[in-house]
Amino acid sequence: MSTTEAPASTGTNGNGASGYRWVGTRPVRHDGLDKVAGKARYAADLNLPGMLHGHILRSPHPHARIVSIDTTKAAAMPGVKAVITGADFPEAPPKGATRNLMCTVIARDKVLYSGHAVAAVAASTRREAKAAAEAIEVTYEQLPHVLNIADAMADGAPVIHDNLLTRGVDPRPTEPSNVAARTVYERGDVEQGFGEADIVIEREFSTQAVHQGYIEPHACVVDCDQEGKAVIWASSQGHFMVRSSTATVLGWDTSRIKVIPAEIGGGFGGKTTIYIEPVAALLSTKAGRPVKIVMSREDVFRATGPAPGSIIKMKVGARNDGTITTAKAWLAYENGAFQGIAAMLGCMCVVSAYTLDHLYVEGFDVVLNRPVNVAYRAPSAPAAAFAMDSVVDEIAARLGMDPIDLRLHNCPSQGDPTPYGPKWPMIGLRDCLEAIRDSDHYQTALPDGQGRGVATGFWFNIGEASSATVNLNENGTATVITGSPDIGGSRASMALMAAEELGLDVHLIQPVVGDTEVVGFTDVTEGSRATFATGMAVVEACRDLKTQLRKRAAKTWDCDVEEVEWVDGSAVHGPGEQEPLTLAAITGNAKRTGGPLGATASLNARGAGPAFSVQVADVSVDSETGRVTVERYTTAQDAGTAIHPSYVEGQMQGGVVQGIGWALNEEYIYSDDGNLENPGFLDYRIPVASDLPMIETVIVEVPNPSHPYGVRGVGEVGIVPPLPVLANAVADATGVRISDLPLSPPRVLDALTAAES
Amino acid sequence: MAVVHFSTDQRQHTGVTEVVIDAANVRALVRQLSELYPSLNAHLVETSSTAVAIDGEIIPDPMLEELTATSEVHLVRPLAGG
Repeated sequence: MSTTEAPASTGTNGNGASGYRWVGTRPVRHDGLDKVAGKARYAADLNLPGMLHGHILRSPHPHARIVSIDTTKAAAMPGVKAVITGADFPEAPPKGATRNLMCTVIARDKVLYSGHAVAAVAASTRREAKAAAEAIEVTYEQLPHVLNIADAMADGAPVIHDNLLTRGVDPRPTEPSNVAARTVYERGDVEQGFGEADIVIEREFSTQAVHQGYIEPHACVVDCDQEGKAVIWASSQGHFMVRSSTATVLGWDTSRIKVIPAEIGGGFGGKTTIYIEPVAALLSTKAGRPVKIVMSREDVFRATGPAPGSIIKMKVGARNDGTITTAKAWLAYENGAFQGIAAMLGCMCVVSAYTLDHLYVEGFDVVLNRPVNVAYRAPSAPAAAFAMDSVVDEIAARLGMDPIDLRLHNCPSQGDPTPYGPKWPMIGLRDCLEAIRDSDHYQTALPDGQGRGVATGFWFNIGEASSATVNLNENGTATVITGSPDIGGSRASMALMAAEELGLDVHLIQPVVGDTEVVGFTDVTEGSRATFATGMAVVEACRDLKTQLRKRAAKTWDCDVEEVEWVDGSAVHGPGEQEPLTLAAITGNAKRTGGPLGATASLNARGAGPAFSVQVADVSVDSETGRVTVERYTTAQDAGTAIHPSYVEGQMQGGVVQGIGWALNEEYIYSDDGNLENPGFLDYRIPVASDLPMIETVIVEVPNPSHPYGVRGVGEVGIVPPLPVLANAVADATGVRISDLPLSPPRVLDALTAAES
Repeated sequence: MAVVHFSTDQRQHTGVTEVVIDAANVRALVRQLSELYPSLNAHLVETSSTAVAIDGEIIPDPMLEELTATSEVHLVRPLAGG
């Protein structure tokens, strides 16, 4: 099978009944024991001889000009070995992504949010470093700030960047504003569409910024030697990204930096960028000793990227038969302190689960005095789905239609145009809708007093560059080395695909995450790409190895290689004149037949398969407290093919739980003076196991024809539907539709009280 | 040959919703588009629309991707993810 061939639709629901021996099975993950036994090494666990501790001083103001920084007193304090400020870093370009990265790592002339890094100290102990950092004297000239979209877009709003001229407006403005970009997607004639509609519903929605909530704070250890080379141990979603980003910020050549990936304690998109590695590198260079920086939880909340808040206005028309005739959307997304593409992504996603002849979608990316956005599973899609699927739910109720039937009636299929232009490839939205419709959950009558909600979610998934090396050992085992950090069970998935290809027991395969000098370049793990793209590289390397193994057998048998097949882990002589040679027999004799066996594949993966999820929830609402309790929750998601169903289910469940947190509780609370008031898990409440029922999963498998095993990628889309699912369920339970998240007890109680009065 | 479809903001530079281009790959296609619509390239750079979608598949950093007589091309922005 070539890498462009894929198996027919399996519909196995992740039970491994697809004809594969290993793909679709559920072995214990190779790194599992180390993680549950506390032996896995995270960046903060590393201690080197002579190591110093770094501490970063952060701005107490949301917007201020840095007038002066005096480090004299700090530098003279006990244990202090190095002090740095923005002036120690290369000058940042006037605008663009490089400036945004450089000025996120450390402020230059202005601080743009409370928590923005200003200076840093390396000292013998953490306590000494912290004390010295606090002794740095920074003089600020405070500037007016903006903390929300409405204020940032208002006429006369304080402008954060003097050179930010809105993109996507013709003619382009000549005066700066906080609107970084305008995005428009348009098809047909929306007014005609509204004219064809029997009902039109128009609503405005808001969502709050939320944090990715990874348990492990950002941490790194950097050791710079006297020749100017640096070794970085860091927790990230991509150590090649850490290398290139650190080099960019420091103005170094990438060859000066080696990054060794530590285990990662959660990322969810939040570790697709860097904050502390260049700071530690510069401190280490200056001090001549290794430096460790571990962010506190408070710093993680104050200074690392949230997913954006949003305001979305939706207007949707439909005929009495359930046909959605048109949709018009206005979206504004927070970008944080620097411009991003949040609104653009929201525009691409907002009506993606529906076939529309007429649409007009307009989005605005807005900067404000908060930490810059960073990706969070399926970035921007949850808020967009919240708006569209809330309105669609209301249409279904008004028409008296089953909400799944309404969605099936408007469901796009392969060849239909996406809202952003290109046509859909093979997608599994219809399969997911039918899976939920036919699920035990949906077929079970709703208990009295509860409400039920359903909704859809879409995410693109992406490919990008990956590398893999597979070495066969002399005892017949294999080592699979990839450049993708294991953020969700990818070691096991890589081993399973290698096992399937080589016909080797998966337990005889050791998957390894290689550092930047061991394995070929690999893009950051984002866009649900690791099992898809890096898995594709593993498969390609294994197929190369199978060719080599056949050649070795042919040499052994003194026959033509075309007479040798690779079957179930053994070389088989086609004419049947030789006894099969196992993989172990060939590798054990490898020195005599040409040397050790290994293969490497590097590729830019094409053909990522779009992901859809459909979910249903039952909730109860306490009318006295406003508390929403999730009583039952089921998610169906198109995985393409589930390589390791347990980890697919884990990704589905994790996404749902994070979406539930976004929907019900999570929000940043800022004081009027621009400081975050809830920078900790006590006051920023993410769901815990005791808050939730078991999240039931239905793995839908509509194979992606571009992947050798049909993989789509499963890490992101699960977070998209919970926002509208729970809003729809609460509306069903209470008769009150709430269009502002989170659905926290005070907000729900206020809405119920207002409705009663 | 390929049919290139233009988004709403790109049409301000092309004046048309689509155009047929005789090009063997994306690099040749972009060259011809730049000659046909001199202001389009700067707009694509300005809006970071440096990716293409060929027959529905978004390719983030294209150059030598082959085009066929039936290829449908959209000029889009590269995606990011979590």
